Amino acid sequence: MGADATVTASTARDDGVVDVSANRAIADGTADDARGRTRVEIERALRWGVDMGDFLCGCEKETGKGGWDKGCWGGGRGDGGGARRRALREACVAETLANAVNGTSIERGLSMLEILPTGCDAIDGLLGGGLRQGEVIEIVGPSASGKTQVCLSAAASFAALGHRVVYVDTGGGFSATRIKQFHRGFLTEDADEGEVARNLRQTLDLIAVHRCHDVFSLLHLLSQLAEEASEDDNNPDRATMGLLVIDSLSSLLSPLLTKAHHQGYTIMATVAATLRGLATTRKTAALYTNHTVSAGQDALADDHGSNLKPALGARWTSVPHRRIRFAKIPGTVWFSASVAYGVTTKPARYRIGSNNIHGETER
Amino acid sequence: MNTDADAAAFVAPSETLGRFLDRALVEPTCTGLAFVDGEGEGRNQHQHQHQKHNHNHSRRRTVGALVPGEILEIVGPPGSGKTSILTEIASRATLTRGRSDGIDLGGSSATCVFVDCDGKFDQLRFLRTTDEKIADGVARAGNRARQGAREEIYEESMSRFTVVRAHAMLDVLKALAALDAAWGGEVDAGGAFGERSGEGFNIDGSESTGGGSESARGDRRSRQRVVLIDNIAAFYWLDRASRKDHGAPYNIQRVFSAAARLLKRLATAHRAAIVVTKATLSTNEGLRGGEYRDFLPVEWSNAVTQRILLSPSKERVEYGEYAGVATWDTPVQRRGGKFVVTEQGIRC
Repeated sequence: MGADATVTASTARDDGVVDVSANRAIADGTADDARGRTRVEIERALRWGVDMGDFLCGCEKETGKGGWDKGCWGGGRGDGGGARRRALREACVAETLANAVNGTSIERGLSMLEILPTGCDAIDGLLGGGLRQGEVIEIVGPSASGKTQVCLSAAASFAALGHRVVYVDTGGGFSATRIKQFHRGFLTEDADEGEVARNLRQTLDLIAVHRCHDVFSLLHLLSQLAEEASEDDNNPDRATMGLLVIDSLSSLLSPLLTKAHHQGYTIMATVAATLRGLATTRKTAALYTNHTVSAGQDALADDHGSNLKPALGARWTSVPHRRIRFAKIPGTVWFSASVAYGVTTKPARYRIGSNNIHGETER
Repeated sequence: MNTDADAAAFVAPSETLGRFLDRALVEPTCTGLAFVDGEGEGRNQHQHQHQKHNHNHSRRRTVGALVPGEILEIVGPPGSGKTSILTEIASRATLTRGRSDGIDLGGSSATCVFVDCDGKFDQLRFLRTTDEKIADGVARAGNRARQGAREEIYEESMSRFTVVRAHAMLDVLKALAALDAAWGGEVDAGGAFGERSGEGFNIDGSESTGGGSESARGDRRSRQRVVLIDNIAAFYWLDRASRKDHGAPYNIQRVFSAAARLLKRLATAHRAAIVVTKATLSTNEGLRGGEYRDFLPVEWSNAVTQRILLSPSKERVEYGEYAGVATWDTPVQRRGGKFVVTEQGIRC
């Protein structure tokens, strides 16, 4: 209560009730909000925000209907608008430069991003070497096609290499036993048991599992991760966050895509934007799964004779950097993997082993 | 007009012919894409045709659709090569134009600003395609190329390029306003956005003197600027939820008309060529009865001066490549063409 209560919606209590007494204290000026801002400062920030919005969009009373030649900041004004406008302009330039990267620094920035393996060479081949930090990758496939297995393998791989993993589990598919098996599979047969156990403990410590059953808790988690960014980057002891896994994202989002939810597309767009922004700002790879639904009787069958389409539909196509499609090859224990969106490569096939995922690239 | 001084000021010239020609004679920005630059047998021959026309000061608007002042919109479904096309334009336009040692890169020495809304700009691919083009140009020049020319050109070209990541439409508007302020000289951006201070014209029209390398001084006469926005519709669904009847202060019409206004200003006052991509679902919009129907507000459609539609091609290509077809919607009489996106760049 009091000093450490916060106003932001993202920290609403689990039962959905926002702490009203804390709000009142801030409004009275007797308490500061979580970032130490007083009421006066908050009001000033709000006024600045409104001024910036008017500066960019044009004051409504001046533009009028369709008169987009006029505008608060129009170039026709001789005096250039005064100190406030100058301050707004300088703020625009400063904020844009903060997000801008000049061509000469691109190479240096790229050299700091790593490409890490998923644990299966053939799938790494489809991804162009592995999961790249800052990229968002989607795996789409019918149930029991190995999506969760690849997620677990990737999590084990990143953690074994010393990066933190945030694993969001929506369907209860996370299994620490399986992580242990994959981890054993990465090390050589004759490794010392004590070493293996120690390494395993470190690996498991680096994986944080969150169970989310609705999209709002997912958004809450993503915004928390975004906020942690600045603390983590300055703390050298904390391992860098390498991977965010969401298994499965489509089970959280597809219930929203019915006609009953008029905000469904907006929430979907918010999740997409948050996910992409998080991947870039925290320099982590993001991997999520998408299940398939029947495409209906009129749809054409694809190569494997099934007429399935991704649950997250057409609007979701360009959200990830790459989309990998898994399918079971009927009559065998093998699965096929191919690139459905993004830079295409030769398809591969894989099968799930006891402590690894064994893959081959098609010749 | 009471005094002689007033009369003399009245008849004094406003600008010299040189300044007028600098302002009025605009050279199209080279993109290296046949369907934008116009026909030509091959890239080299096309460049020669291009130079010849300019030397003759031909009145006919020659090849080259990307003229400063135009707002070109490239529309296509997801995965149709829009970001690759923008990367190709950025890579080609920032290359140095006409060097003294005869290395012909076909570039325009343009200052290029890329506003990345989708986060799909592939930096590695950009570096690779620029490097390929420079290597190609240096190899063609043969013995005339100086040692270390390749690194020099690379550094120069890269310094003209800036990428800005936008996380919301507000970021896009801020970036455009920042460009307006920096290019207009009102705010000193300290050499960012490829502008070296002391170059070019001041706001009151007097020519400013100042430093800059030799190539920069030569280019001052026809400085080229290119603004590329990848996916203006990236935040469409997010912003659409904000409605006036629900009490939101800014809605999608205001935001897009502000964007249109800012782009128009950059195009006319700062002589920038603007290319904007728009991702659509091929189902809900496009050509209907021969006319293009847009899902963005009408203020935006009115600001767009040229439009290209992309669609996938049925041509078979290797793994790692993508084949597409570009058709001109506005103006409809321009010839479109096929293109193939490869790891090295775009092949037309």
